[in-house]
Amino acid sequence: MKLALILGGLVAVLLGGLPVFAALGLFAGGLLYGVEGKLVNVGELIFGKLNTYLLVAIPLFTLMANFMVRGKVVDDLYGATNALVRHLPGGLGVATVAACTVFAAISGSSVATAITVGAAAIPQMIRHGYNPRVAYGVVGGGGTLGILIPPSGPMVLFGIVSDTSIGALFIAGIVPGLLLAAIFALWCMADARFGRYRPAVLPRATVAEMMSALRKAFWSLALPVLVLGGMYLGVFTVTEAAAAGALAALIVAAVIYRNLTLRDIWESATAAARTSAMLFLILAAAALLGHVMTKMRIPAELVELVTRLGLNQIEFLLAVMAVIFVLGMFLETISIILITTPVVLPVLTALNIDPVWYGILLTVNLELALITPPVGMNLYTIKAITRAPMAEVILGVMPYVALLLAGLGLVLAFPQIALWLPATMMNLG
Amino acid sequence: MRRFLLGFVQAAGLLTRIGSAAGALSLLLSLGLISYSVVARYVFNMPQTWVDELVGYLLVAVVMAAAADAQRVGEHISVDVLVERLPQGARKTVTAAGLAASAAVGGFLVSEGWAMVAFSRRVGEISTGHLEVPMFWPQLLVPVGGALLAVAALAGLARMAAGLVPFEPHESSADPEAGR
Repeated sequence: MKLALILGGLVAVLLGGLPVFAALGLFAGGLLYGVEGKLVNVGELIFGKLNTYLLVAIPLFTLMANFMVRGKVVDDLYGATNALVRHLPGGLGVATVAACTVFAAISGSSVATAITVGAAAIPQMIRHGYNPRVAYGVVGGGGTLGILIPPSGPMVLFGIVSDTSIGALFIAGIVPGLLLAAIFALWCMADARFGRYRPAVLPRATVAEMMSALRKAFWSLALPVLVLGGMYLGVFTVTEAAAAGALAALIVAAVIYRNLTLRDIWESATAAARTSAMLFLILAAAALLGHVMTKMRIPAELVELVTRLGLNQIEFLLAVMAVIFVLGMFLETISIILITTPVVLPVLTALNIDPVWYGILLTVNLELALITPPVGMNLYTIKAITRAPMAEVILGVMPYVALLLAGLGLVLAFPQIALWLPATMMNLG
Repeated sequence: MRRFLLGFVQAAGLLTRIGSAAGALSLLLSLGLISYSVVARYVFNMPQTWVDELVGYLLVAVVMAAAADAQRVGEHISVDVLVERLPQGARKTVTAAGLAASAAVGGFLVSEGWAMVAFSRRVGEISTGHLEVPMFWPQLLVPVGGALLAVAALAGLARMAAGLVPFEPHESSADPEAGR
């Protein structure tokens, strides 16, 4: 009951339109004052949460993506995927999903994926006779892969808040990410073949065209290999992999492509610092809220409730996923991770639920949050880059909401989709 | 009165830009330090254990220094699905309330951060890592960043009072009339 009241109050405060960090911080501060009659050690709590070496991975991955976008290193990515698959039915849609999949392995952000790939793919799809709604949908849906395919900012946050191995989470995201990408691509093909609008199939690219496109996109394709390969082979920690990626992106964009000026480097750094400040102020405020909820024994009471109701793993996860799906309609992904994880964590332990499995389920659900109205960051992104009516964008992404729900159901029913690869790699190690 | 408001906006803009530069430098420095640490470990077999501790402090610097700049350009996200449906006047009120709330959180960071710094200084707290620095130095970043955030939010209110839009456009000039 207390949890429902707090969640309800929080959603109401956030819907009031205040900046999320301020709404969360003042709400949590007010609750803490109500519970304890004073504010104690809040400064230490905030400083301690921010002073975390692992968290540095997030601004560094952001910096890496900024270098690659400003240095126009990723501009040829869509050209390469286009040359490889454009002859398939719905080929440009499939190429868009493929470009999103590769960019997801660079950026760790869904919004960055949707902006970067969308800017190239949407005009091209519309020019070749695709229904605009289809183009918005494939970029909106494909863009969500940014947080499931590693590296992933939300996974880093979940890993830190829940004390789960970020490396294991990253590895666990690969198979579900590729599975969803394949499902999205199949949908594009089926829609182009059997749907109401059937865009013309484009001619197959020659081998020379394909090789030329792949050569141009070589560095975009090589950087994820460096980052993820270095991490999985144990050469780098997550933070070091982010630094190696950022440094490599800087060298490629500035030295090889010669597209990155000193001014671009500086602007990439100030933009990444601003994004990190925005994100981590929310983290600090959510940490305060988590602290208050623990003081109010809310996680403990949730464990008691689950025990009393005799819920099993699947029943509990279904209930949590339903709540997160509803929250995802109104809140953005970071707030959802930071608000729900401290509450759910003790129950995961009590029910013996693998936190890596839960982390992947959460991430797929957060992908849904990015495209479910009324609040979905990818919806806003596509509206911003196309100036299309929001209703058109929403209708476009609806098939992807259904596909992601199906993906969520698959990972829930078959945990091995997420857990097989980390288990295999650890055995190899 | 308007001149005073614009003067305050200009001074606040300068302060937040200095903060932004400090945040960007801290981030680039973190990148350099981590890269150096990897090279030192693999090439020279000399692990640099102090780097992890310093990079943690630099992250606090990135966040606390750049938070005000994010405030200046309106980059702190909010849920505006309901607010968008309000009439113009009510929307302005919500924006002003958001700025006031940000200023309040900035003030909160100043008071709580200062209490932490004072306590840390009083008991002579030293970091537990390899650097063994007095903790109040990195902890000072919290009240300083809080003060910058509060100034940036108050500058947004001052811009509204002067008839300007509350947030400055990205990479704008120092002209306080920018983004009108």
